[in-house]
Amino acid sequence: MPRPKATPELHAISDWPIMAVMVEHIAGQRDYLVHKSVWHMSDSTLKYIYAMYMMFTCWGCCFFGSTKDPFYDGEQYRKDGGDGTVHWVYEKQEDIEESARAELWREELIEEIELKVGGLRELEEAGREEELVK
Amino acid sequence: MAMTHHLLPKPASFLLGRSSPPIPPAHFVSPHLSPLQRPIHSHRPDFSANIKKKNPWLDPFDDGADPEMEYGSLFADGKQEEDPRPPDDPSNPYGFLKFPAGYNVEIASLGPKVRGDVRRCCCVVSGGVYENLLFFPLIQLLKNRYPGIQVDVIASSRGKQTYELNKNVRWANVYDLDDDFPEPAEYTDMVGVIKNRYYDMILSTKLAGIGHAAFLFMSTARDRVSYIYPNVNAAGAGLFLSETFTPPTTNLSEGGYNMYHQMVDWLGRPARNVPREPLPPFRVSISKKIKAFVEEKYQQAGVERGKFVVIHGIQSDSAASMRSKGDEDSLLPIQIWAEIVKALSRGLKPVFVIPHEKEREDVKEAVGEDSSIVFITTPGQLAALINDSAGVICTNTAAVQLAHARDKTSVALFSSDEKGRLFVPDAEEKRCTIMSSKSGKLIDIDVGVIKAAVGKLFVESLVPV
Repeated sequence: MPRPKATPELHAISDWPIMAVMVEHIAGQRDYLVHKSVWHMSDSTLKYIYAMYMMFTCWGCCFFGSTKDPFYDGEQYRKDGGDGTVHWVYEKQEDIEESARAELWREELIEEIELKVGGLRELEEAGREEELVK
Repeated sequence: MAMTHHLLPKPASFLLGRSSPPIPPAHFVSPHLSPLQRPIHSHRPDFSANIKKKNPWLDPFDDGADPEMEYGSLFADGKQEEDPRPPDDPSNPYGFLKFPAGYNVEIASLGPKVRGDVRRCCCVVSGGVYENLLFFPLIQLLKNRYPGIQVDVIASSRGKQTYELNKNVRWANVYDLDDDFPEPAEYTDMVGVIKNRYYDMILSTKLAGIGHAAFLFMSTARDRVSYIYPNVNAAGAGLFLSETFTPPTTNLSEGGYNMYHQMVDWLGRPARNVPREPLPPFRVSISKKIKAFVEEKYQQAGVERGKFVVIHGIQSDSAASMRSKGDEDSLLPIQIWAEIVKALSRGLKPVFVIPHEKEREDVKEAVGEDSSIVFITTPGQLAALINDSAGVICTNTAAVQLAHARDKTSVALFSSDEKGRLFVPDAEEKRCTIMSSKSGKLIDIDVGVIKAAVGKLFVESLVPV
C-alpha cells in the first residue's frame, strides 16, 4: 500500500506524461503509431529564456525611451560632472562660512574706517568754524 | 690628540680645576636661579602659574631660560610682524611663489624659536554656545598678541554656530569633543585635519586626560596647551602637553565669565619687550545678512526696531536654550515671565524668544494670542535681535552676555548672588541689573521686585536706538 504523501510536491514541469502519441486507428487493423513528440525544457533553460526576455524588455525600455528624451546625448548629459574640483564629495559648508567670516571682517573694517573718516571730517569742520570765528 | 694628552696631562686638569669656580656649568646654576627661571609668569599677584612644577619628562635638559643669553637683532624681541610680504600681484611676471604669510623660508625657523611666533593657532573649545561665546575675548587677545595670526576653531556642533559672530576666526570645524568614544573614522579624520594644517599652537579648553592630550599631541603643534583634569584622570596628560592648567573643579564653566582666566594669564604673559597683553572686552560682530534676516523675522512677529524688549530664558528641554554648563538652574517657566512682562510700559513690547516651536502654544496661552514670539535657535540671530532691541530681560543664558557685547540695557535673573557676580562681573559698567533669588532657587525669585526694577529701567531707557 503506497503511503500517502505528506506534502504534495510541485514541479515546474508537472508529473503528467508529456509524451504525446498520435495513433492512426483503423478498424480491424493494428494501430499505426504515426507520430511521437516530446517537448520538454529543463528548469534552467526556462530561466535563461525568461531572463533574456526580461533583459530585452529592459533594454527596449531604455533604448526606445531614450530616443524620446529631449536631452538625449545633449550637453546636459555629456558634460563633465561636479563643480570643477575633481572631488566626489563637495564639502562646501566650511568654505562658505569661512568666506562669510572674511566678509564680516571687511564689513567691520569699513565701518571702522568710516567712523574714523567721519571723526576726521568733524574735526576739520570744527577747525574751519574756528577759523571763521577768528 | 692622544699624543697631546700623553704629553700634557697635568696642565689640562690644572686649568680645569682653576676655571671651574667662577664659571660653573649651567646645570649647577639652575637650582639657584629657580625664581628667575620663568620671568614670563611674574608681575602678577596670582602665583598659581609660578608654583607649577616643570615636567622633567618633557625635556630633561631644559634648565629654564638662560638669563645671560644674548640675542641677536633678528626676531629677538617685540611682537611678530603682521605680514611683511606685499600682496600677490597676478600680473607679476615672476609668478606666484606661494609661501604662507609672514614666512621667509631661509629664516623661517628663527621667529618661532626665538620669539615664539604663532602664525596658525587652533582653539579646541569644549562646551556649548555659552562657553564658546566666553572664548571670544581670548581669540581677540590672540589676535592682539600675535599680529597676523590665523585662528581656527574646533567646537561641538552647537558651539560652532557662535562663530558666525566672530570675524577673527578662519575655519570652524565640528567635532564632538565631549564624546568619550568617538567614531574611529571621525577621530582619525580630525587628527588628519589638525595635523595637515600645521598649527604652531593648539589651545584646548576640554579637560584633558591622557586620551585628549594624545589627540592634541598628534597635531604636532609646537605649543600644546590644555586644561587638565584636577584629579587622577590627568595622569599622563602632561607628557603630551607643553603647558597645562588645572581648574579648581571638573566643571570649568563654574568659573563664570572669567572661566578661562588661567589660559588668559598664560596667553597674555609678558615677553621680551612685550608688556602683558590685557584681555580685551567681549565683543561680537553681526553681519548685514543676519541683521536683515532677523529684522524680517521680528517684523513678522509684529514689533518695530528699538521698540521691544527681548525675553530669553523660557523653560524648555530644548538643546537651544543656550545655558551655561556652570549654572544648571537658569530657566524660568513662562507663567513667571508673563507676570514680569506686565511691568513693561506701553511703548515697549516684549518679544519672547522660544528655542523650540513646541513652546509657541504655551507662550500664547500664558501671555495672550497677540504676543510677539520669535523662534530662534542660533546665537547669531539672537545677537542680531538683541542688537535691534531696547533691552533684554533674561536669566543666565547667552542673551545676558550678548546684551553686554552690544551695550544694551539688561536685567539678568540669577538663582543666587554669587552666580550673578560670577557670570556678570562689573554689572554696573555693563548696564546690567542683577536680580537674584533669596533662596538659591531661581523659581523662588521675587517677581514684585523684578517688576519694579523693570518698570523703572525700561521707562528710562525708552529712547530711539
